[in-house]
Amino acid sequence: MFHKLIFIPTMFILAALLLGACEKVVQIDLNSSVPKTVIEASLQEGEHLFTVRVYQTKSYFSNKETVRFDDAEVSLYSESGETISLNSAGNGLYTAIVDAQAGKTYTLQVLHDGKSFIASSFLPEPVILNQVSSKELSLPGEENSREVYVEFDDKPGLANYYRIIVSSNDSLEHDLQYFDDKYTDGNRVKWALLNLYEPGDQLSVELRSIDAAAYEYYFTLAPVLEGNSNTAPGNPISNWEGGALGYFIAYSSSVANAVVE
Amino acid sequence: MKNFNSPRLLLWILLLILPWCLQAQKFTVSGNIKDAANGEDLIGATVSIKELPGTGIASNVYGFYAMSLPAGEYTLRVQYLGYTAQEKHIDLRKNNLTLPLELQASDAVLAEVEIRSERTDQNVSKNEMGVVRLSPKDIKAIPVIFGEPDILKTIQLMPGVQSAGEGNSGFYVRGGAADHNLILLDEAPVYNASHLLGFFSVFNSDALKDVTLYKGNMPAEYGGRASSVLDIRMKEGNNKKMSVEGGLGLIASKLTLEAPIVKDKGSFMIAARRTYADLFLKLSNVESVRKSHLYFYDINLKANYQLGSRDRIFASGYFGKDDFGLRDLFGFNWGNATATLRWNHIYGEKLFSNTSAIFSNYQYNIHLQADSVSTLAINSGIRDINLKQDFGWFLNDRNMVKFGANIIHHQFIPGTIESGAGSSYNSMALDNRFALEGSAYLQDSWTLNSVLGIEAGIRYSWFDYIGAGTAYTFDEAANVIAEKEYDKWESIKQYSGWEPRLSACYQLNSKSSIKASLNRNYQYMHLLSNSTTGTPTDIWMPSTNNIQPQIADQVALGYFLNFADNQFEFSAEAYYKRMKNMIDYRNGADLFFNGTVESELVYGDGRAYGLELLLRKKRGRFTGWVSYSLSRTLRKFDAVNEGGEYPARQDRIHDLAVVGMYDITPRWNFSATWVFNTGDAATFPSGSYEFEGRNIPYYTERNGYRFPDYHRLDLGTTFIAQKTKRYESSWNFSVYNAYGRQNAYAINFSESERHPGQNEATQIALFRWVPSVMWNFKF
Repeated sequence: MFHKLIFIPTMFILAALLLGACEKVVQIDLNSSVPKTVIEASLQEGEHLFTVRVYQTKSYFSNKETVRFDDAEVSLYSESGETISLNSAGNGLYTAIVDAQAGKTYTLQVLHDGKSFIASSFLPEPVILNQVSSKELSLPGEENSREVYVEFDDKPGLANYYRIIVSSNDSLEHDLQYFDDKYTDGNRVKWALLNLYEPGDQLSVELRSIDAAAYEYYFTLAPVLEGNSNTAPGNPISNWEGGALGYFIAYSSSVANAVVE
Repeated sequence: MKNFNSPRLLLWILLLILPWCLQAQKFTVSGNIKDAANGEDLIGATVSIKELPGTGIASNVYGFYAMSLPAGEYTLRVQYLGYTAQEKHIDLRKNNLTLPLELQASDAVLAEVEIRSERTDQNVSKNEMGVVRLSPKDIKAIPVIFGEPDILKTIQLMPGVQSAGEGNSGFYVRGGAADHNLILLDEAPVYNASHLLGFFSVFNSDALKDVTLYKGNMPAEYGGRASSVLDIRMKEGNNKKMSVEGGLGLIASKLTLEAPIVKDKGSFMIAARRTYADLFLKLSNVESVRKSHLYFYDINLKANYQLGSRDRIFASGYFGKDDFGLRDLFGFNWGNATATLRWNHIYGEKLFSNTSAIFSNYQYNIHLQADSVSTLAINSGIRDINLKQDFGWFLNDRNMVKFGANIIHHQFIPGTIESGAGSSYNSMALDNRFALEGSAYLQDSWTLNSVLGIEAGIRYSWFDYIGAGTAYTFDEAANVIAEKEYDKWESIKQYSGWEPRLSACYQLNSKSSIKASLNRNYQYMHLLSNSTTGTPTDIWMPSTNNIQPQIADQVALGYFLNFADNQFEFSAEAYYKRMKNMIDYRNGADLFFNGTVESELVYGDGRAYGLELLLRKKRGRFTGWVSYSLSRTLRKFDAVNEGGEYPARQDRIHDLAVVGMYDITPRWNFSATWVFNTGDAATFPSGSYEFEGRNIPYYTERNGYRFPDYHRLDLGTTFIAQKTKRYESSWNFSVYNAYGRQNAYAINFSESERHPGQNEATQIALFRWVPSVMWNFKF
């Protein structure tokens, strides 16, 4: 359970907190930067509504509404030479119904304000979630907690990359959960969810299969989300050519529902 | 600086000096200099001849001195800071003379006359710069966090030495990186010098005798790191009588025992320290708390024995461990072990030899519950075996020549993962890496006359990255494009280089001098860390076919002045340092358990320059110092900031420390420390964007912002409750961060929890008003 290695830095911070740390909100004068284009697009395997968002960054502490672009030209190209144009749905959204197939690479192009942004993503075969199980785990202060495991069979001899999205009691969790099979290749994997739950919690767990570039994106996004200036952060590594932020990720998905026992 | 590659010139200088020194009929006076009370060797005591002004030799690290003089009768004078000077009449008309010397410690409160007999102008007269010396006495008087005296934290109060973070024992020297410091404990390198989050160093101050930090211009006998050498020597142990000293503190307790093995012939010392916060966890009625643990301990051992008049052997060792466990879910422990065996031998009258066999090991272990059915164990570390031969040749009254060689076998153990039956995880092992590191050096400390001294040294270092192992070649995008297997002991890649070490001291008058130095250092081993303050899981890597050795060149110029009868010492040193082949990480570098971790690294250069001022009062009821550095620390990496130069995190432009100690009465003293420095350089976001419903910071430049300025006052007082000839007990009280300033330890940028959608910056401050109390005793 390598994400448990998070215990190492956490233990340091915890001990420091025990020793009397205090936290306060501070005012910091930040420079403003030239706004940058952000493109966010996730293509799911099967026939679904494919949505692309095009907008731009704003000053860090700004309260203003995000500037969204409705005047971009957005096209999806499949490996087999098929081209699908997306229609603007207003508010920076572009949509089309797409029947995406596993084992293929898709390329998305966005033309805006004289600039061209291109990204490609490989859509991996789905990996089926077999089982969701739980085990008692009592930590100081959380005596009746359950650790929840999702089980699936990793495909041997192939580098697989995963992302897990959890909804508990109908509310979507925003924690970033992603991993690869570097240490688990070909095994029946029992992966522990990041959060602990209580008996009776209703869970919906989605296991997404993603490609290596998408994994790298999440890997470099995680420290940015923590926002800790004690490590030198950088922007996540995007697959956009042309200098946009955000990503284009094709994925296949498997969902399991369970009630925590 | 460009002409550094002319080591031959230096060799010529050395060869020219030597014959000049060989002349006339001469006899030698030699011996060991010890503390009269406990038999401890005195390091760096000065021996001079009254009739021959300008002569002077310092005792070596084993307290040995020798001086060759033309036949005659002389008055030999020996002086050592904090001890009463001695004069002896010596007769060298017919033969050599062995003269062991014992000096009496001069208590600070003794009469003025005796104090004045000390040689107190070393600041000005000694040919050394960029050197910080601390005695355990200084270390114990200065208040530090949690009341536990700590050499690494005290050293941070000196100019040019910066703390790695709040309450942290890690340090940076003159713009160097954290792994640029060679930390030696009785000659053995200590690979991870901190306990418990870095808040304590692994060095128990009760076990130490002498601490010297070279901030540059290290003598040629030292090498292997780019920026500094911290040379720590343990006590030999009292060879006159048994003594016990100890302390009970809030965090840890310690006990030291010293005794003669055979009086005046040999002695031993054993010191142990342990924290005991975890003992209270056992009292908890919550099972998970009761079954958790968090502690560290360390043990220092040393013994020495004099075998006849020419031979002496020493054995010393250090063992320390930190252990953290959260029930059976997660366990993490790490620690160093070092061992040193030494043999001193005196050939003839003036050739002193030391042979050392040194072992050092650092290791960490993690075990965790991997999934519902199994556990995982992860191990990693580094192990050194080092053989070393040093000679000190006390050529005559003006020249002291040192030469020697050593060879180290390094074993890097990047890690293994062992998983239990039925586990999701595969057991894996990364290949160990091996290297040989060797060096040879020659150095002469030459006192030309009463005003000019020169120290000229040259070191040749060599490194061989050897098999068994696999050498990888990577393309631009960090993918492996070629692999080659190597057999055991087969050379994969070799590096070598000349390291000149030159310094000069010109005495302007009896009160002031000018000193200059120039030196180069090679560093063949590198610490990979993805945290700025360092964690126990940082990994050491050798130079490989991909990683070049780091090289640092430094020039320094200084002015030294003593005044008010040597009561005050002042120094001003300016330095410029450039560093090549420094290491940083690719965006998204994965350093953990990575067999091709070299692909995650990027390389660049650094430079640092600054002016360091130190005013120190060494005697009287009031002692202390003011240290100030004005400096810049810059880095330049092609892969960072589009190749532009940027400030390193520790680029604290102004760095000030004021340290004062005052004896209110002979039994009661008071001390205070105030520090101020410019805030660390940091990377803050310049924009924000929504992504999957969360706000993400957008960064534009590395270290383009600053933390707020840092300042803090610490207060301490020591009261001797009881003092007789046989027994002493004292109380120490201290407060860390006495006015409770909230200094920024971290500034986090994230979406507000109270106002979703709105970003905010949160500052975390660690320690405010940390009081501590400690009771010490000795008998």
